[in-house]
Amino acid sequence: MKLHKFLIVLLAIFSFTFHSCDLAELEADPNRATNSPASLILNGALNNLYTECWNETMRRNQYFCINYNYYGTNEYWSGSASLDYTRLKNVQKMEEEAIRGGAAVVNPYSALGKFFRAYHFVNMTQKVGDLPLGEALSGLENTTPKYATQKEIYIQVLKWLDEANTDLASLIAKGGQKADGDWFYGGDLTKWQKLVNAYRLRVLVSLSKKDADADVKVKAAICRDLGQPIQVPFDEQYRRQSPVSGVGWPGCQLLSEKTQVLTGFDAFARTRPNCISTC
Amino acid sequence: MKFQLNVQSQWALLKVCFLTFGVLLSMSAFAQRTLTGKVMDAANSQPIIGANLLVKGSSNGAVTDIDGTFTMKLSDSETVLVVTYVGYDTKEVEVAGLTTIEISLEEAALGLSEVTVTALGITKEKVRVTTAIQSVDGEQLIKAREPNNIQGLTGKIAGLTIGSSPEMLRRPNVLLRGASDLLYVVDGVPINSDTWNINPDDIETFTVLKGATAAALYGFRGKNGAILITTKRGVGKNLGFSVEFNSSTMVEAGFNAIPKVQDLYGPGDHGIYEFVDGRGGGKNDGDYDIWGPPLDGRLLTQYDSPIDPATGKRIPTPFIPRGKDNLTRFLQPGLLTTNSVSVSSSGDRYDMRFSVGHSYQKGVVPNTSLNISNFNATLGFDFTDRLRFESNINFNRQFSDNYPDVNYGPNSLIYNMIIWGGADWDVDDMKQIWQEGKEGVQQIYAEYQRYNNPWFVAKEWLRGHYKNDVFGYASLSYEISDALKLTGRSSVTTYDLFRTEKMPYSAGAYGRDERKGDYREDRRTLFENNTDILLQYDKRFNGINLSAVAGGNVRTFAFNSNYGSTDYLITPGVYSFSNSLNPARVFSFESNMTVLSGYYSTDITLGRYMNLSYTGCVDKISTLPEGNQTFYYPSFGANSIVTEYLPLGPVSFLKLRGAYANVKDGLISSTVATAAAPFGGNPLEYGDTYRSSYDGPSYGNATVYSTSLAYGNVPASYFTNTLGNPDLERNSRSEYELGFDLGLLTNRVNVEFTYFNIKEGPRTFARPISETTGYTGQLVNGITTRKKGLEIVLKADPFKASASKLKWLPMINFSTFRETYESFYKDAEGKELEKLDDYSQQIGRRVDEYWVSNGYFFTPDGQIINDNGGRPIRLSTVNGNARKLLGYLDPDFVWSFINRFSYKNFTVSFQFDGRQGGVIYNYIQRQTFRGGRHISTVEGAMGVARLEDTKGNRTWVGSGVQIANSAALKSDIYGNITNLSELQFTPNTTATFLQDWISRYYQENETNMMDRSFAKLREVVISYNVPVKPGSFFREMTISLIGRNLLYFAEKKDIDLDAYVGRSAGTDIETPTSKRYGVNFSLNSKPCKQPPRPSRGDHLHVLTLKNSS
Repeated sequence: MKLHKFLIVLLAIFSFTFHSCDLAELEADPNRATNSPASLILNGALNNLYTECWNETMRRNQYFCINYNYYGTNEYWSGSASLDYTRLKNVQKMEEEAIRGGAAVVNPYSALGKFFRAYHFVNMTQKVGDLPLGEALSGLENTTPKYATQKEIYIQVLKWLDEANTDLASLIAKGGQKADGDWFYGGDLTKWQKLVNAYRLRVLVSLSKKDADADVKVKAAICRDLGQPIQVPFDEQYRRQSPVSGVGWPGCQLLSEKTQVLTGFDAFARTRPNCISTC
Repeated sequence: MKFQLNVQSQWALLKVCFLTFGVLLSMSAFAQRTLTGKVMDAANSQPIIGANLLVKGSSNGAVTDIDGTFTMKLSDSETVLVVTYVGYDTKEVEVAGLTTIEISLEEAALGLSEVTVTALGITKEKVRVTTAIQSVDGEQLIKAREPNNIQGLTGKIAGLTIGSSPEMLRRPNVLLRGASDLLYVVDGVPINSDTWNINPDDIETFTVLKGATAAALYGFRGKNGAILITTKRGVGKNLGFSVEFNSSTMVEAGFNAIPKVQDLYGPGDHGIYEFVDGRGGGKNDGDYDIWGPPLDGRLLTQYDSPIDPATGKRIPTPFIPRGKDNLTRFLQPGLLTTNSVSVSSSGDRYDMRFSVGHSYQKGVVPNTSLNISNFNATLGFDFTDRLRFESNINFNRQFSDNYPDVNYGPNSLIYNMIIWGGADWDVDDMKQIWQEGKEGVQQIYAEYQRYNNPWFVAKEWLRGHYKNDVFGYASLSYEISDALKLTGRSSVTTYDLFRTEKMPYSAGAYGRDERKGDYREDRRTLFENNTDILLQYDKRFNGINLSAVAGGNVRTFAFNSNYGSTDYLITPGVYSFSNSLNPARVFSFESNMTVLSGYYSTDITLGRYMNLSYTGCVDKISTLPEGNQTFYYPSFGANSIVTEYLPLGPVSFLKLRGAYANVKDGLISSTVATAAAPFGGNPLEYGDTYRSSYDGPSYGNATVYSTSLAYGNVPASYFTNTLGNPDLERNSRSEYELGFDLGLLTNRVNVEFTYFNIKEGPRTFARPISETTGYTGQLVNGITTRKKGLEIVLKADPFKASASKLKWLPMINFSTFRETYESFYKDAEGKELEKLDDYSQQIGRRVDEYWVSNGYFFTPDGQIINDNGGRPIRLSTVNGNARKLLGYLDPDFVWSFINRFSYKNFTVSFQFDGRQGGVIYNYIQRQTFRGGRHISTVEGAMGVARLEDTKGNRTWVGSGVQIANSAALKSDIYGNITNLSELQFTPNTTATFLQDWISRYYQENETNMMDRSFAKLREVVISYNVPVKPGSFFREMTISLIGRNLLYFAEKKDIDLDAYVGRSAGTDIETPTSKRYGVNFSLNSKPCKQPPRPSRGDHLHVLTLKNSS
């Protein structure tokens, strides 16, 4: 038909005249990147550890109550809880970008990544119990990942923390290793190692009621850990800096020396009938 | 003596006889007389220029001149004249023996000769149009004005629903058949419009193409319909020059909707208040509610109590309602003045028109104003008979040195004065603004933690808005032959926007608690170019009329923006990025897009029987993944004017029409916000997010990192939570409509009826996926909805063609629609999903259902169930997955009733309009109750209990029941109690504090719902046409009394529901709305109707000269 010919001719004219604009190039977003340096993602990951508080009092205490119902109540509620999988995806991306940037398989980001995974999984499992673990974080490849039991999660968490400690130790020994983008400890891996170990102890103490379980071996783990260099968790400087709420035993005063640590633990343990007292 | 004719006299007599006979003979054979006369508009007696008079059955004709007069030579046998003019009914006049005559023509309501403009600026006879189109003359919008000119269209077009915001510079929400994102077109050329850059004084007609069927030729931009604007051009041909002047002045005063608050109790909590530092150092003196002690004169320390020099503490002063009516004393009457002048001229080869207009609005909030200046120039030039040049340029500038931001938060005057401010302080005292000795550094106010002094906010917290907006086009058309015309056209639409915010030292807002001031800048630039080539073909062959258009268009689009903000100031009052305490933050954004399209349209008229139209469009758009960029979509239409071939008695006109169109969209966003968050929310934690019109790429299908500033002002990256899709296809909208246009009793009554059915989808949307994958959604194609609706336009002209001078033109517009879910998508196994959740997203359910995730429990007889504390039990504490359906958000129907009366020189018109049905939650009610300011808290039983509250006595017993046997409630996922048989109810007897009960009872939206229906007396215009002396330069002078929004009817009057069109579930807080009234004065040196430009090959010309039978 005549009209179709016109149309074809017109389109031909246009494709001829305006061929300079390649439409395919214009599809991508020029404002946001498809890759990012691991240091920037680390900044975000550290920020995601923060649990918001109103003030120091709220930060130091494990429990608080609200008596002004404009902002909240003390009632139990049911429904879904907020989880941290999207934050864990960022941790995964951070590790990938570090490797892409040329780092070795064991690098500061991978070590910190293990700590972040442990931290988030503990938070989540304390809220809801069983959760996808091994099959999770696979994107569209697996949109229905299998659930792992809480026990499996805790076992994995402890393993991660242990591996993080080993990795950090090897990186420290290598020397000159720094996690760029770390505003928390300024990239100092020794401080991170102490934090990781303190946190591991915290998790183990929280499992003290499961002492009898043969797979977890809480008592043995604590004793083994106390042989590791641990910075005193209640170091004033640390406490002020820490956005990681909950890392600090309420009511416990632990000192910097190993012996004092043991004494402190002992004192702590005596107040809690199921807590392990000494090794 | 006998009279005898001798031979000589006999011959003379014969000669005389012959002569007389000869004269008589010649007179009867060539007897010509001159007929002069005048042709006028029957409605307003204005002369009609260019009307055609033709002797019936001959080619002897004439055309009226600028005075509407004509002269023609008629023979005695020529006794009937046929008078025609576009837009008027043809009239046959008996002129036997007459030498002068006055002829009145009646305007054709649904006449055959009426003409309308359609897509691409192509003018068509209305009879050939197969879709629903409705027009409004620009004249109807230029008397009673609104600050935003598009608001003048409210209620004038069925299906076009406009929600006007009372806030300065906020544009109205314009919906057509329930969809926003309309295309604005000027003279056939699409422009980028935020609705502020259109000056109605320059507009001849607004034509609304209602839906995809009418606007299909614009491709995806026309998906939701279009508003076509035809600008005024120079008058006719060789009619000299003429001037138009129009001026309106209106005052804004008298509230339509304002919250009523109590002025009997001051700030505090449970009756306790004492000011020490306003930051919590006293008793409830920081971030307080208004549940404090009664303002009964008791002695308390207040913000301005004198300090005892000996102790350094404040001396208590009487606690009295100094602040009674604070808000009404703070607001001032507003002013709106608009002025416009235009000069137009036409000669043999050219026509041009220049116009300048200015609108000034002084807001009801002190120190706020808005200026809009507009300049428009149109030019047409005929190089030869065949070659014509046309251009139009419009420059518009909006500028404001300060406009208010009333959104919920400490920046808002309603927040500070109505919700969280009591009557203990007097707003007039607050004019002091600064604390003594701390000018420029520290504001004075009754509180220093959360709230702000309203005069401080009005005078010192300044928001500037400056926008230059230009659109224009140049076109060249060449008539290759009588049937063929080639046009090339290039147009530009561009704007430059600059917005600033100067936040003064000591002002507080969400997220800015250090109160050290800030300075922000927001710059946006958009540039768009459209270049078209069109070929038009018009041919008539024995009864078949063929019109065709074929063309191509290239659209290039470029946008860039910057957003910068200080992070607190070093030196107060210095608003510059170099004065930033912490590093200044700057963001940038840019986007580019190209669209190539080819289109064609054919219209075939089969004699008197039928009109068929067919359009097709192909476009290639750069926003989608390669391989899915190009699509073809068609539209079809047909109509038949039954009365042309079938006489139907009292039915003088019947046209049946139907049309179908499919349009495909692609990842476009109609608006864009700041560079910091172009398609997301607000980069700040407070205030309004200003969206400017955009129509460009949304980059939604990007699997990318987003960066924002985190600890220490250092950027942090986060990977997207929504996965993109390389196979993403374009959205689709398929629409069909059926309708008829009916005229009864020689078109004294006209009805236009349209039924439309829109299938919207599959859309692109983010399908939720389990967050355990690390992502929360994936962009896919899915969700299809079906929208069905009706539009009815009813017009009458009972006094048409009657001798009386009284004219009455009533009109009713009515529209309604309903949208339901039709399908979702296929899951991983390829099975069609029946629902996405157990609540609203199920096939067959309405899309506008309003579900809430928290609410209360009720017994079967509707009584609320309280806990042991005497306060209602909430849904979330029993079943956290429960949701309740509270109603529907769309109106049942939208209506308007317009009346115009004219008698001799007076015209009176008024318009009522409104929306009926639906629900909305009243946020201001919720906050004023919970904050303690609502007037009901001091009235009746509540008033008694409230006083007891302040004495420490719990006396309020809430309505409803308690569970007698202390059994626990169990609920299903819809909030229905599942274990009723286990429960025993007794009337509630537990007394609580009124404050605590109100805080709980009004916490959820369920108890704050209200009917969304409202009605307004939208407009009243009373005009008087001052009689002008004939021969004076000005032919028309009109003085009018004008009023807008004079009456407001709704269930509750603490908020004006006009702004809440669309599916917003709840109100925000807003500046109280007022009535506007004033005077308009207009002068015209030419008559109101201008004839269209005749030109070769233009079938309009053919139509008017042709014999009407």
